[in-house]
Amino acid sequence: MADTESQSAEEIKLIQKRVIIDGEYEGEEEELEEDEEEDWNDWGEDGDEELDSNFVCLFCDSNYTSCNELFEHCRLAHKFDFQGIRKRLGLDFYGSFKLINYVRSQVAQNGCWSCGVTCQSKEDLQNHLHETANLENVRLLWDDDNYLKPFMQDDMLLHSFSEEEEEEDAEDDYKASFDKDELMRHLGDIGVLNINEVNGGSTSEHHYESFKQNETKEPASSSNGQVVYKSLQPLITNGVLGDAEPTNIVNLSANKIKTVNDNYFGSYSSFGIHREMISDKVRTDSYRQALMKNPSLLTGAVVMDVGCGTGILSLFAAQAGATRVIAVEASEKMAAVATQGNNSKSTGVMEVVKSMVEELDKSIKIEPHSLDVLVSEWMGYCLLYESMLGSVLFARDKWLKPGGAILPDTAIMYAAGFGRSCTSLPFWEDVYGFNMSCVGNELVQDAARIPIVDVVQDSDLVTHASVLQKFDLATMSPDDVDFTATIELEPKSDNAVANLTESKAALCYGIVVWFDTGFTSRFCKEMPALLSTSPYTPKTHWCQTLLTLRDPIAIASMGQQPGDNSAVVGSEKCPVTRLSLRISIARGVEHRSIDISMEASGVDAGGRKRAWPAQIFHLS
Amino acid sequence: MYPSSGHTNGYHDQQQQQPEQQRFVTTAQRPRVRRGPRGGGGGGVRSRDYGDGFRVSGEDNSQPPSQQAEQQNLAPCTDFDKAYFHSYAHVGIHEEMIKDRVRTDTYRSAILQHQRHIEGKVVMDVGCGTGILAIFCAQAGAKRVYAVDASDIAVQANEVVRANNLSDRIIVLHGRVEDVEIDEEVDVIVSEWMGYMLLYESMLGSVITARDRWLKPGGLILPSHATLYMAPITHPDRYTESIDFWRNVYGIDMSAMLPLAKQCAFEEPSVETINGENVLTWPHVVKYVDCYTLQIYELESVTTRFQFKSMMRAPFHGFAFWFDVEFNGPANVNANAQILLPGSPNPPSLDGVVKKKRTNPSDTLILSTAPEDPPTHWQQTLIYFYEPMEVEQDQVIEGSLTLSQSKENRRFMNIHLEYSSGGRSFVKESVMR
Repeated sequence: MADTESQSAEEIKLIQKRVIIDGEYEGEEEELEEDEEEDWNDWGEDGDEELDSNFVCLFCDSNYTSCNELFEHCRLAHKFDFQGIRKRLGLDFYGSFKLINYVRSQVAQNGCWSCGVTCQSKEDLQNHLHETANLENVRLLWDDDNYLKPFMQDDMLLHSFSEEEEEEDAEDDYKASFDKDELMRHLGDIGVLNINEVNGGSTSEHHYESFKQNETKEPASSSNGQVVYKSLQPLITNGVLGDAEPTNIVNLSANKIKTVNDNYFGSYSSFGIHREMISDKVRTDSYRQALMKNPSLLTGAVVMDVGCGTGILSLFAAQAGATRVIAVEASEKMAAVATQGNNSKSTGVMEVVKSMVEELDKSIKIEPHSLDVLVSEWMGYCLLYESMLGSVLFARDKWLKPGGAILPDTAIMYAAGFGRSCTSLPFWEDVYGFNMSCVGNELVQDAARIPIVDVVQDSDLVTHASVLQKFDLATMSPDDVDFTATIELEPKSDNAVANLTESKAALCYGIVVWFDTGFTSRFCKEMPALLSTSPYTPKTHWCQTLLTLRDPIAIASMGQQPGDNSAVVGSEKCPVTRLSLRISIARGVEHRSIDISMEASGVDAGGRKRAWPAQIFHLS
Repeated sequence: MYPSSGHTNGYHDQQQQQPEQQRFVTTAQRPRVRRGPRGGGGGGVRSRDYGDGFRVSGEDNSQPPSQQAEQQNLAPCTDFDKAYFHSYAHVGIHEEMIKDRVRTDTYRSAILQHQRHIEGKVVMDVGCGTGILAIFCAQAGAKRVYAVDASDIAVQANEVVRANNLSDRIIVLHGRVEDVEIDEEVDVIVSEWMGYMLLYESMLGSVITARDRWLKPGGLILPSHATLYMAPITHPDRYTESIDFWRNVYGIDMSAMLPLAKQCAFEEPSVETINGENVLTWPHVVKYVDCYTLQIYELESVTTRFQFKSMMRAPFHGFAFWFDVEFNGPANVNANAQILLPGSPNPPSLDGVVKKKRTNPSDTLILSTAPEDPPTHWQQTLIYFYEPMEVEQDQVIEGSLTLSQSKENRRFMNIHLEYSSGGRSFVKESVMR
């Protein structure tokens, strides 16, 4: 690919948004993607040969044989001056491309592209169309990656609208020439992505994988701008995960219209999530401490921020004296936001690059192994759910100097047993004097399949915490995130939790998992920092992740008298004194999901053993 | 104005072009979980097929399943409804609602207060959820309670009933009130049907349907009346928190974010708790609902004109909405009972149940969600402007409001707000979904 293409390739690159959805999971997602993919691939192939086709008016059914005629018609008949708008806003190829798709999507709904009024009919709309004074404001509406997806199939206009000018603007750096095949491939991929987003937040992993190798099997993480943390919680709390009834046969063309809107709003939601993350003081303060209080590390440093979001970490780095900060963000919208956020202090230091890390080469020249510091906030729920770690490690291997700093540089996952107070059971036992425990039991059975993300208090724990897995980010390989670990959990020695009567064992209802990430003295020599999401420290937006056992296991300290030999091991009459758990976490076949398996086994005071059947949890 | 507010309901007019659209919308965009807490938790009840007038209770299975033919005049169950009922199967929501003590205690008091109308009588609980109101009615001495819910929660409700040895008196019906069949009339309808802004995702239509199908003339409906209010508000803290936040983010000026932040924060109605001090004037009554006389078509669109005089000088940030419901007995019970034959197959005539509001105010129980009253899970619903407007004391704020059901999903609500003050006029369109 020629150098001039890099700009366009970068612009169309990936789109990563944190989409808040209202808690549904669509069973037909996978099918849809495939249909859609084929659909667009076909389109890409056909598109090339049919350059002499008609150009369909954006607003009415007229056809024209040239772009210019069509635009002249739009200007005169529909008060839509395409070339004028391009000129006034200085729209580049992609900006214009999006404008066309945006206008078509609006017209399909009888909506006015510039003021948003919805008309009763196409005729009403045509009468309604008017000049637009405040173009800059309207621009926000189509400045969305989702409009890179052709709204109308075989829209010849998209192929041709810029051809006339291509030569005259050839020297203009900002407007790049492009390879149509390449473009169509990108667009096809975007089609896939859009569907994902409708269905509950997507990452670009799938897209990236299929784009690279047409193989979705390997679930490597990639440089998604950010992860869809928040989509998880509604999914779980609504409890409809995986149970969604396939009530509808989805109509693809209807789908397309819908997609445009959903994504539009999804993208604003994503902003809300960044806002929430910045407001997470525990998180932001620990990064700030690591970046601002370690002058020997940051002064004069070249820094990369992977998945910069609003760019706050990059701004910290710039303020701390870095000479160059490369802020990489795959979502066009968030990258634009980060660019706006650039202030006087960071000017000339910070550059926002809209790209996936894996394809950064196409957008910007960075010498291999030239970075002093690599910073990223990549962690997902349960550390690994929708995490961007793969992208961070990719950047590490490619650009970080030998011995360069990676922030954070350690991640440790912990597990501990939680008690009844952490479940819904106590509440449903006595509701205004009535016993509704059947409802609570139903909830517990559900939670034995789907991890719950919620806040756990220190006092909810019935065992000590145990380290589940440690990651050293400076040395680990991307595949290390799939692991199996066996841990032993010991009951808390204070019997306050073990219950009122001393002889009574504590019931362990499940395992809570959390993580800490460290900015250790290895790199942060002046002031190490720790970001903890534990039940012992102030809560963060990550909360903790709960894996509920199908049946509770009674657990008691060694010192207590042996249990009743006739009773089942792990029951209250015969508690286990050692509880061991074999926990595996693996990236799911579906991109961005993780699968967790948990097997419990225990030994009672008399040495009798019992193993419980494995439970599988799916986090997606 | 950004076009986006119209945009939120973007498929509104597409239907003519894309008849298939409606089917898709359901999967793509289920109604938000009504009143559900976003965080916190628990899993959910496993989804089962949504019941079709299926009687859950073990006893008295003489009822045949619903007869479709009989119900041609009743609204069909759309996919939207299914999604809505599905969302209610999640038990966490019910936990949240039951934990709202203001709500549950007021209902319990109201049921006890009307005990003489309930004792030995037949009651229907419309949208029974976990069955708590049905149980209160049984406790108050009801002869029989039909607890109806279309959501899968009905299965749990039935277990709850059994666990509390009330199976002989409470019959749980898994289905919509439009679909279920019972072979007697009822003396009392109790329902907790109110949604955000009273009417959003409200079950009031189901209550009316139940009333018209089964309520005896002169029967009791709890609650009996509802009032939706609105008032202009000032909320500098919220504005600061959402917008000015970006001026100093951990010491860094990110004010470039302001336009986006405004759009993000104020585009859609927001459910949050304010207090009396945020309110600039006395409220205006948007809609007064008499459950004894209301007709379903009246809910399709509600329009009101308002005029307020600000009681103070303050930045005017938007409007707040809240409601209260009254638990009044039926007026002229005896008179009606004489006029209309008991067991009459026809619903009571409108005139027959007209009554005065708050005939005896001191006795009337009211469940209020007003900013000055103890908070409930309904909180208040706020519609913010993108920019605050400075108003002086006694400055007039006037305009009109239209709430209408979205055509595609009748549980969505379109909000069209026109307001002017100090010589400037504005329009704000929002969709609550």
